[in-house]
Amino acid sequence: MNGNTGKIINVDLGKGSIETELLPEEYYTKYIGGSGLAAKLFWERGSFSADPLSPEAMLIFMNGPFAGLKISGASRNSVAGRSPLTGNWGDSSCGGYFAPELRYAGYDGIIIKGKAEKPSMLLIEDEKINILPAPEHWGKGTEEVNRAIKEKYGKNYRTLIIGPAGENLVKYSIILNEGHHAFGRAGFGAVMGSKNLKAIVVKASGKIMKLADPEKYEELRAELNPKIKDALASDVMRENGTAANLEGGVVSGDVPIRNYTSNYWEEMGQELNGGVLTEKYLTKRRACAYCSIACKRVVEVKEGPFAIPEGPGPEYETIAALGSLIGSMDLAAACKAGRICNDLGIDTISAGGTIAWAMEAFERGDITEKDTGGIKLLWGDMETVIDKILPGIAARKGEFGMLLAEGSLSAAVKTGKDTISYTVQCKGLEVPMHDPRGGGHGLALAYAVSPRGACHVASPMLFLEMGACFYPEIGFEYELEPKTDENKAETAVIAVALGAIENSACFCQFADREIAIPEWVGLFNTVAGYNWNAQDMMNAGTRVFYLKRLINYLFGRTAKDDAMTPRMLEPARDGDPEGVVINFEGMKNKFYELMDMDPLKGIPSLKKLEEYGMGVEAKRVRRET
Amino acid sequence: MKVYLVPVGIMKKYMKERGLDIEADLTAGTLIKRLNLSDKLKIICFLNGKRIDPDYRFTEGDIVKIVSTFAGG
Repeated sequence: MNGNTGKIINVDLGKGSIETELLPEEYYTKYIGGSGLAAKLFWERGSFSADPLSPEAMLIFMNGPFAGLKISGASRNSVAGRSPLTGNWGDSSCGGYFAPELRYAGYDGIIIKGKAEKPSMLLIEDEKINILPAPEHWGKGTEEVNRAIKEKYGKNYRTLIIGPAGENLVKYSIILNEGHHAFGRAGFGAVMGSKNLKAIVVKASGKIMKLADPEKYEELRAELNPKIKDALASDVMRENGTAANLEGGVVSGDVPIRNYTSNYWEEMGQELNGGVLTEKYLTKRRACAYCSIACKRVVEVKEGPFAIPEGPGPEYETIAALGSLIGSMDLAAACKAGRICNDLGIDTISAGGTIAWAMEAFERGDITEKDTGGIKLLWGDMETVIDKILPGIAARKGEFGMLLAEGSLSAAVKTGKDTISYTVQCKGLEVPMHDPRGGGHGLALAYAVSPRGACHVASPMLFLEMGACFYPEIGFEYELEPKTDENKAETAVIAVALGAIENSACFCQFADREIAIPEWVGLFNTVAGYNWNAQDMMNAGTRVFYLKRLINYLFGRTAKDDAMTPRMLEPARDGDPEGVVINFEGMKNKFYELMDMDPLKGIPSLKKLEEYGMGVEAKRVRRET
Repeated sequence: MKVYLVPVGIMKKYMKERGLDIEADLTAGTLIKRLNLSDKLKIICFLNGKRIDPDYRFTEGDIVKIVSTFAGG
């Protein structure tokens, strides 16, 4: 096999067994790798009845075919399975340094089942794979454990670690690589915690990769790397990080404020912008493996109530989720809150979304100090967020910590009083920090139809709406007007396929936005030898999207779950999008029609599945439902 | 006629805040072209908190925010 190794590791922590397995090449040519291949493996081997936090639950880590190649953005990894936060299909992508090391060690992925009797870690050193006791790391933050593992084994041993939140089964716990790069969404840190698995560590002795056409690959690489490095967007993010244009987003109405009740706050935009982070707190710029964009930040806040030593800094989502979304324009506080979330092992987006819901509930009187254990929840009170709320969530402290640890949807259902109407989530996953009313209406459709729930990276809709990329070879060559529904369903058809390709190839959207369709096809063919044309590639993307829809259908999800919460469908209250209402149902109906998806079941027709070479999957759906 | 251009966010890297003497019938779209900035910036203009169309004709003293659609994830 080329590009891919074709080999995965199967671990049963309950039995203490470790086996390697070769996968059929057809799995790769049909489902690519990453989250697509993980979906294929879950479809075949996963339990649709098991609780995501039970020993039977599958936890899958999967590389894409380009992991380990010296191309910017090509070495991400996917984690996947059933999300404990949503109960649906879940996947999450992480940059950093784990993916290439796993590839060099000889593996495309790891499937973990069972539950270790005691706190453990998985150590992979080429063919030598061991489950080791790790009681000394349990209960400790990711920073300390990362340091301890590297001190013991060496700095080039690449780590995936959960924090106390994962151990305590907080539903939106993260898995952290190298103490800096996160599998942030959908709660897979809790799945690791439920298995008593504190860490996964990998070290390879070499860097050998077999490619289908090394010469042509080198030619392509020589073109792509400078193209990505020198792109204007890369230059902007290298200089000021992913929050470089937060201030511009505030003017457009894209940046959410106080639980999406406002779309304009001028001073906040000026205070939280990436350039301010650079001026005040940046000490170093960092990159994921082989990436020339280097959008990662290292920061130090030297003084004041939110002082933190030099270490990982926040990206855009964290700054907005732990800033404007909860009514704060204190950048130092966002840095500290983000750092604490990393150490405790909490997703900053879901944490911000859940806290924002709670703050609005408190303001409305739907929850009181009796419910919060005496904590006053006030917009922008970052000392309380940092000192009490985040540690309380991670520790599931008291009734309030327990409530918020379940995420905003569960918390609202338990609280009642129609508080669900102002949760901001799709399928139970809190909405990321782009408000479709101000950013682009197509993003609402993308959030709703994404199999894992509200997700801005499940497809490149955000970039397509802003005019950042065009793909004439596959019919996307038109300018979009972000704040309308015009052509959004048609664009979403292309976007869900492209998103599935990105997330299955495990490519970073910041880098791959610069890659044209012929270059994508060239990469798949020269690296993995798939022998595709553009249509073959797009079909693989659509196939992955359809398969994830089928998985959700077997979890009981249907078309009605492709919904936006009421807050997102209210007219915006201020700023540029004031009064604007999204024609959500119109876009959704059109998208369903174009994708040949059943308007009730929310899955593609059996005929369409057969057309995509999914006859076996179609038969199973017919048999089991 | 004088208008004032105020770059926002990443636009501060590419232009300075400044007043500009323009012809009375100049449109926003033409003004943006004259700034000779990269098409990749995908510039939009805002006046009094609202987006203005490329065919908007300026009035004396307009304070125009120059914004790129660029967004991080």
